[in-house]
Amino acid sequence: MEGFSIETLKEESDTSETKLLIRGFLDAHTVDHFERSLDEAQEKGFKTIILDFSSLDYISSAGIGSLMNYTKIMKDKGGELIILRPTDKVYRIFDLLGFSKIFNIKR
Amino acid sequence: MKEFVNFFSNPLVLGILFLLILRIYYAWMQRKLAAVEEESEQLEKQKEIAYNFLEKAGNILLSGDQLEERLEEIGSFIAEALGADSGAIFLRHDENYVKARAIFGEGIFPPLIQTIDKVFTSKKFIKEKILSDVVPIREARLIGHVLQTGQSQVITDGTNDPRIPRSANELIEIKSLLIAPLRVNEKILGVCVLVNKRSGESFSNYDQSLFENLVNYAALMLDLLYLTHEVREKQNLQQEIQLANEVQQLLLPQNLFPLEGYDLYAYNKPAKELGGDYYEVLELGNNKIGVAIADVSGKGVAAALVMATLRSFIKVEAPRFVDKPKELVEHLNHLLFKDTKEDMFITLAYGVLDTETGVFKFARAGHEQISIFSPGNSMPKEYCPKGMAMGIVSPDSFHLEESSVTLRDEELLFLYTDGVTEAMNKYQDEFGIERVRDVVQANCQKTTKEICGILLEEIEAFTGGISQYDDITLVLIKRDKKKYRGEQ
Repeated sequence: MEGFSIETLKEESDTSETKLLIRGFLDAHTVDHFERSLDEAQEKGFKTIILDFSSLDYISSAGIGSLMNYTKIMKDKGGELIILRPTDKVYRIFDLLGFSKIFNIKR
Repeated sequence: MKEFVNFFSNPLVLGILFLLILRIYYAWMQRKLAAVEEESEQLEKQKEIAYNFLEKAGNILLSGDQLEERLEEIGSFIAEALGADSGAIFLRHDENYVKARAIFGEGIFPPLIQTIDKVFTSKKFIKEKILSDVVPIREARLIGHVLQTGQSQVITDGTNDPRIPRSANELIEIKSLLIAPLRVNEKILGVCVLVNKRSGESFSNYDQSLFENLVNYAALMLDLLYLTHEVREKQNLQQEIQLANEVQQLLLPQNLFPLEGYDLYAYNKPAKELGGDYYEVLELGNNKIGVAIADVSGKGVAAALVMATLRSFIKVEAPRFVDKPKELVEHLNHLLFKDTKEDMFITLAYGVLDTETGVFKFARAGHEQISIFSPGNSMPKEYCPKGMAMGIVSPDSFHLEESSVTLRDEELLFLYTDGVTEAMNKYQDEFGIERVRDVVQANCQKTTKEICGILLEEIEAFTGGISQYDDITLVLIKRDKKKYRGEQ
C-alpha cells in the first residue's frame, strides 16, 4: 500500500517514552511493518509508546487487531500504548467497534 | 670440420636434406590436421549429444512422473552418451545429508558410500539398499567431497584408489569413474556419478568434458523440476482453498425462505478465496425470524474457522433466545471469547423480527449501523445501539444496549458489512456511507434483489473493477403487504 510510513518523533530515556508518527494506511499489507516498529521500541526498553495517529488515513480490522494485541502486551509488561489525535474517521471506527474505551486515546 | 662443412655444401646432400625436412613437416602437418579433424568431430558429436539431450529434456519436464523417474531418465541418457556401465544421481536431502535418488545403466552400481560386508549377488537388493540410505554428507566419502567442494573428478584406476571403499571393489571392479556436481547458480544440488566404460577403457579427458557439460544441463533441468514441483504444490493448495471456499459458501444460506408479507434478499462476496463475513436468516417459530450479519476480523483460514464456529453457535443458541437478542449476543461473546486469538474480533448485528407486527428488536456488537429506508423519506433512519465487538473482553465487562423499531409497509431494513462502504477506487477514495444511502434511498421502492443489484453495480462502477480489500455482504428485508395478499 502506498504512503505507509513510521517516523520516530521522540525517544526519551528519562521517562522511558517514545513517540511514533504513523502515516497512511494501516491494513493487512502494512501491519507487519507496524508491528516491527512496536517490537523495536519495546526491545529498546520503552515503557510508554505513543502512536501519533493524526496522519493515519485508514485502519482496517487487521490494524485494529494488532493495536488490541499490543495494548494488552504493553499492559501486561506494566507499560502503556497511547493513541494520540486519531482523525475523526479513524476514531469513528474505534467508537463503532466499542474500542474507544479499551484503547488509551488522547484526542 | 672442413670436411663436415664440405659435406653440407654438396648440392645433392642439401637437396636430400631439404626434401627430408619437407617430409617431416608434411607428416607433422598431417598429424595436426588429423587431430583438428578429430577434435572437430568430437565437438560435432558433443553438439549432437547435447542437442538430443535438450530435445529429451522438454519431454522429461512435461511428463507427470515422479522426480525419481525423471532423474533416472536423465541419468540413463548421460550414461548412454558416455557408454558407461552404470551410474547414479545423489541429491542433497537437507543441509547435512545426502540421498541416492536414481540408479541407472545396465551394470551394477557399487555402494560408494555404504560399507557392505557381505558380497551381495542380487543387483536389486544393492540398488534398494543404496536408494534407501540417507547418509551424512561428511561421511559420504567421494560423493560428500564433491558436494562440498564442487570439483568434478575422474578416477582412472579405482581398484587402488583410497577414495573408493574396498567393499565396492569386491562387488565389481571399479576401473574408472566420473563424478561431477549438479550446480545451479553456485548452489550444489547433488552429484552425478558414472562407473566403468562398457568398452573396458578408462574415461578420457574428452569423456570428462562431455560428462561435465551434460551434468550442467541436468542441473538446470533439476532446478526446473524443483520449480515445477513447487508450482504444482501451490496449485494443490489453491485447489484445497477453492474447496474450502465451496464449503464456506454452503455455510451461508443458499436461498432465503419465502416469507409472507416480506421480500428478502442477501448477498455475499469474499475478497479472497476465504472470507470472514457471515449472514443468516433463521426461522424461530411463532412468526419470528432471527437476522444476523457478522464480520470476523482478518481473512483466510483463521477467519473462516471462526466464522464457521459463530454460525454453529447462532444456529444452536438462537432458538433459546427468541425474545432476547441482546442476551443472545452476550451469550455468543461468552462462547467465543476464550477461543478467539488476541488480535481477532467479531462484529455482529443480530435482531429478531416479528413478522406479524413488524417489530424488529436488535443488538449490535461493534457492527455497522442498522438502517431503515422509507420510500417517502429523503434519508434513512440509522440505529447504533451501544456495544463492543465480540471476542475482546470477558463476559463480565461485555454489555450491550438493545433497540427496537417497527418496520412499516414498504419500509426496508438494510444491513451491511464495512466492505460495502470501504470499497475503494484507485485513488483510494472510499465508496462511503453517503453513496450507499443515496443509492438505496433512490431505489427503495424496487424489490430487494433489484436494490442489491443496483448498489453492487454502483460499487463496481466506482471502484473501476479493481480488486476488493474486504468481503462484501448485504442483507435486505422489506415489508411488502402486497405479498401477503398474494399480489407479487
